[in-house]
Amino acid sequence: MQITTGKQRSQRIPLDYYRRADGPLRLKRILSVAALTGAVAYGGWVASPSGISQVSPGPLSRAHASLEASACEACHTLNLPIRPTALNGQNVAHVQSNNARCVTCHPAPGHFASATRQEILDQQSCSVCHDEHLGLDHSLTQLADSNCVECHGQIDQVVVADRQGVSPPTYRFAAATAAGQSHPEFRSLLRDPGTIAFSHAQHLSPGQMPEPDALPLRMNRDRMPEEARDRYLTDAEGFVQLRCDDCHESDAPLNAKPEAGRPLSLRDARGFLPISFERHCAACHTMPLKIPHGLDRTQTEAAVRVAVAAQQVLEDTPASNVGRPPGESDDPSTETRPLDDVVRVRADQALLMLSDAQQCGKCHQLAAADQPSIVAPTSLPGRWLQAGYFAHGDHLNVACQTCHAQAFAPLESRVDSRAESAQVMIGGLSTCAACHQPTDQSLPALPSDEAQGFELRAGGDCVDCHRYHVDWPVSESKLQIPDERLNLQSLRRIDLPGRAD
Amino acid sequence: MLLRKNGSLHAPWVLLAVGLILIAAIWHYTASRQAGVWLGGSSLVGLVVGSVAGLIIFGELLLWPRKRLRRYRLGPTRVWLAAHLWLGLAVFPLAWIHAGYRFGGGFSSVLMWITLFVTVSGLWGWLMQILLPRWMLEHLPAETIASQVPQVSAQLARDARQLLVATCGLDPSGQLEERLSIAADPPPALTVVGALRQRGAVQGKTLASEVAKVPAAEGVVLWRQFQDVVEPFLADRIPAGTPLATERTADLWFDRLRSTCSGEGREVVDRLAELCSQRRQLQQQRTVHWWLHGWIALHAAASVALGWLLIVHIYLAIRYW
Repeated sequence: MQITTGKQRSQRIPLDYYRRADGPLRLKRILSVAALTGAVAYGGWVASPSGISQVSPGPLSRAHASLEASACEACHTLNLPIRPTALNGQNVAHVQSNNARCVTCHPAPGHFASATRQEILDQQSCSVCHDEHLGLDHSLTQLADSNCVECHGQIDQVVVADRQGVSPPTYRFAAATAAGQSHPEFRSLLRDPGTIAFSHAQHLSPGQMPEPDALPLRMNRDRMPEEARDRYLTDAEGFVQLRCDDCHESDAPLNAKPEAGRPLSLRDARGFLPISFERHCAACHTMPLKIPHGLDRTQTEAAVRVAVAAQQVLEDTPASNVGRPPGESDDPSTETRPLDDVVRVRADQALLMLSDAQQCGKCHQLAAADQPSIVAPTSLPGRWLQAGYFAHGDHLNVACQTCHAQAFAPLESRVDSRAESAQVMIGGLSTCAACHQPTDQSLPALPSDEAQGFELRAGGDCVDCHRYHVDWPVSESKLQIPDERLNLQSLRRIDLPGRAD
Repeated sequence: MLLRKNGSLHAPWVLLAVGLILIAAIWHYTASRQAGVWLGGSSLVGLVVGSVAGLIIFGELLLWPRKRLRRYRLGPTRVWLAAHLWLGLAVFPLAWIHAGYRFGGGFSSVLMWITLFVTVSGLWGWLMQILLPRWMLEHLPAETIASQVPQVSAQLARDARQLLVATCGLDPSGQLEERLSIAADPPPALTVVGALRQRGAVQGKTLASEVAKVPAAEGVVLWRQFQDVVEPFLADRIPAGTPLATERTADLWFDRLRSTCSGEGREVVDRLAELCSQRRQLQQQRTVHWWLHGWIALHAAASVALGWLLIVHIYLAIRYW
């Protein structure tokens, strides 16, 4: 068609051109349909059990990783808030409903529930502290100090009226926090409750006799029972040189978890096995009579008489008569005589000697005659830091001297075991603070023993030393028991499950 | 620039968007500080901020039905677009505050990324809508309705053919007669072609008339070059490697052609060069048109997906509070 006029030219574009989709519009429609289809499919999958993990706001911690796939309801009550920060999240019914799900698998005790105000307890959702969905490596137990200080910084507002002021450590901490001070000094290290006289300085000296004039008395392997000689090292001059672990044996075997599939390691050590005379002392401290330790007064007397009798029989009976009944020996002159009188006299002498300062009294504090035992209880704490938690296995990179410097102090005068024993051999808070400082920079720093010279600090959070799930039925009778005993009992109880590591 | 020109139109929405973000951020920070953690979507502040963001998203989506319901006069388009622009920009910051400055797990991350994509694509489109029309006004005086570029290109080809028939006579090879069926329709003494005229800084399309006066020998050359190079270029699909694709190579090619012609033939060559220039502009317009409007396809598609997934998000958030 030949176009020659302006009108013809103007009609080259149809008047309804705008009704027809051009390229971008067609693409918009196609993409919109595709996107909506994709969104519907994805949304449907997400809302289905197979895709529900997509809803998770973040990966669960390792402890709960198995619930990630499709077990949301193991923790979540549908349509109820689980986070305490959620709207209506502190509703008592909601908190109880959520906590009930946690306790199904984790029947942990509460936290001094009987001493805590009800309105506080009502808001104590597990998720207040144990925040989930923060990643596979997020620790559910390594909590920020703010979780603890929130209540302990204002303890009066948390504790019920009739328990106010009952727990001195708690109130000392609250007072320190309120005053902007750091953690108070360890109360359980103020005195040594033990009754054993023992000089670490003496025993860590070569031959266990540091005095120059005691050279002939120094211990060497030849003076030890043959079966014990291989256990101990000697110095260049042949004198026995004790090491810490000769007496302080790790309790790792008690804490190891065979099911974890790894060999026993010192990392499992929390403390040490109790000192045993037979195992740790007897190699050097030979006794004229083999009397077992740990017996009460009556048992000890019986053991002494038996030991004396046995010794007497061995001393008075010729070798040729051993094993023959009385009256059947070849030589009547060597016939075994009745020993009662001899034994009784020698046993009485031996019992008297037990109370001598050089026998039981050399190490033990002797008890009064009306006491059930000849010696006073050793009273050595199985655990020194009673309100806190210390694992030696976590501190293998630190030399013993770092925290127990007093045990390695050189003798300035003659050994005075009794005086030295009264001294606590554990460094205080400042020793810990040389490495451990609060992670939360807003908290006051712990007074540090800078002499240690550590530049890199380890964490110093409350939960590094303290445990939360500690509780006991508070009763008037138990409140009479010293605090350290209460804490010790409760802490031991909760320690059993072990740390997360 | 936009605010300077349309301050009264945009200012209320800018203030509303910035105000919403500031209030949300301050409230969230204060509440989080009190709680000791960055509060998430289930907290009071998170829920309120998230609800506001959700309402804005659904409000933004209303732009679509509003376009369909123009006849109901639901407010001026300019106001709708200003609200869409500024409130839409506030959505992602509000969503991020709602989520406690986290992207969250799989589903919420998808939501956040789609929200971010919609925001960025909208921003991109906004920039395109500001910059490209201005550029087109300056550089594409031959601009036409984008969807009609093929028809206009065909018209240019027809104009060129008519010009040659009018100035050089019928196609010596006879192909054109057969193709256009113009053998029985003798060439007019005067033909009308579309042309561009410039007076000072103003350019525009006009109609121009030509008179046939090219010598026969030159007509043969012009017809051959027209059929081999110019006509394919003026048609809808520009062949690859054509010398007329760019202004520089086209000028060189037309200069060479012009050198083979006398004065009358040169005028025809000038007219062909002008038509080819228009064709190049139409081609540029086609490309620019995609930049100008292509983003809407992505923006709208992502918005539709976001709207649906937001509904799923609300359902699941209430279920696993």
